Amino acid sequence: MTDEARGHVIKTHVARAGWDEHEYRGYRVFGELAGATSMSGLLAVAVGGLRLSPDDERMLDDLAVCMAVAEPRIWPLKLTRLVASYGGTMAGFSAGCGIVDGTLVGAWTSVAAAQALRALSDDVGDRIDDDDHVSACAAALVTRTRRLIGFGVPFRPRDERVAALGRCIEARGRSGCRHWRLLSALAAAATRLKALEVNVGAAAAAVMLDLGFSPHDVAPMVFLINANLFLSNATEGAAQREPILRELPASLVRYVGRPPRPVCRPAT
Amino acid sequence: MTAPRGPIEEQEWPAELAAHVVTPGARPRVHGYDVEGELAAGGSVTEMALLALTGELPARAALEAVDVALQFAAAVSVAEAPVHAAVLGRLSGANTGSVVSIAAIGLAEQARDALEALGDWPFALATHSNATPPDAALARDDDERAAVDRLRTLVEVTGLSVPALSRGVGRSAAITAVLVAARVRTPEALVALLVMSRLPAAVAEASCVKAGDFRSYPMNTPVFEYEARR
Repeated sequence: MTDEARGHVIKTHVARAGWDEHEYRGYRVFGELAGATSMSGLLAVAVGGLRLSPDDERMLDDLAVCMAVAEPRIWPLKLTRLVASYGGTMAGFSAGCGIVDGTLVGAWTSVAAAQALRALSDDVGDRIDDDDHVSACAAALVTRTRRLIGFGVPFRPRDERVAALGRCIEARGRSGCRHWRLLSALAAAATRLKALEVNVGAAAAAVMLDLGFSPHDVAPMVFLINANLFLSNATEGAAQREPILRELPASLVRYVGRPPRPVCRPAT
Repeated sequence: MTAPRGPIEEQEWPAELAAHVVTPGARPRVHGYDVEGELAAGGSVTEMALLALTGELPARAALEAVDVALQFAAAVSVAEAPVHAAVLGRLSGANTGSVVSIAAIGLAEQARDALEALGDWPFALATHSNATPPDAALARDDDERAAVDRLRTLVEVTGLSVPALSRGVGRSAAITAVLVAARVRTPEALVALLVMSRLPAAVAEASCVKAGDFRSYPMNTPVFEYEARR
């Protein structure tokens, strides 16, 4: 190894493999996490380095369940099906991951929503119990934000996932949590001022912030708890190997491009 | 029994998928040109790529200059992350599709990152071929300047005018400038051409590795150092 390479050490806070024990985000895997952490709890450790309480872990489980719309016609999931139609479960899953790496569909929308909630939280300051103040701050944020990410519900009047999540939050006695309250104020302002309904992307952001995640950690967390949606479609799609997904019949494709023309290669 | 209805059934949707570039079926046309009857005779993969991405057949000078630029771009080594990743995929026994996919994703990310580093400059070149390159576009050392000199010499032979090649730019910016001069002017098109040119070398390098030969791989290079932090 050259001196240059020897001198370049990459610091990591993620993990180290040992002989009889491994470390993960500052915790001993067998000594501290095994038997004491759920799958949701492990995801929180992985992404945010957060050790959630059992009740927090169940809240995360509730969020995952409320977001579970695995309908294969929904764009990211259909993409998964298309690639999986050649028989590769993980290829389909990997392709599906690609579509959510944007700000229009998928987990990253929750980051923008989390940042908006953080901004609202800063504006509200310590007056969270002053309903008029919170409403005014929410209205101001909605007014000054050109594109309110995490709001807008296509093809239906409201996002049924938000309603279901609200019931879970109520049942767990968490409706008084700061970011959920702020979301409620923001949702009311968005409906009143821009006729926009809150969607589950913003709701997930509020839950994640209340669990202690940073806005930046919200996207990978949302993706991880939604991974089951992609895997269910990738698994079934790979098993089915549907010919119609591999190639649509001519009757289902309409050419709208340039009409036939002769090749005349430009000389210069 | 009637299937339950949901919001998807309640909307009006087009019944057909729109095809904008290639006519589906046994005798494909690309942007209206007959592939098998005309384009393939005397054409090239680079010509086909430029046609697909720009909608028009390239002028001869542009085609030759892009061929030169893509050859400069094509030689990615295992020192670079996309190839290194493909090697690890192969080493770990990933299937053929996965090894190629890993390389393609890495190459697309590499190209996207390099393009983003150039800011709006490549797209400004489309209207102002003398647009001032940002600092990030400039050559970092004499080796890079020499490479761009070689590229400029070869591009000049084609007859395509690329004034940006005389502005002290680095290799990545120079290749991008040639592509823009050849009317490749969207981020997706630029990234696609770079991936297309680099994918063979990346896959070839990965193919040299024997699946499962973990002992031959420098596992501790570069060095990672764990610091526990809660």
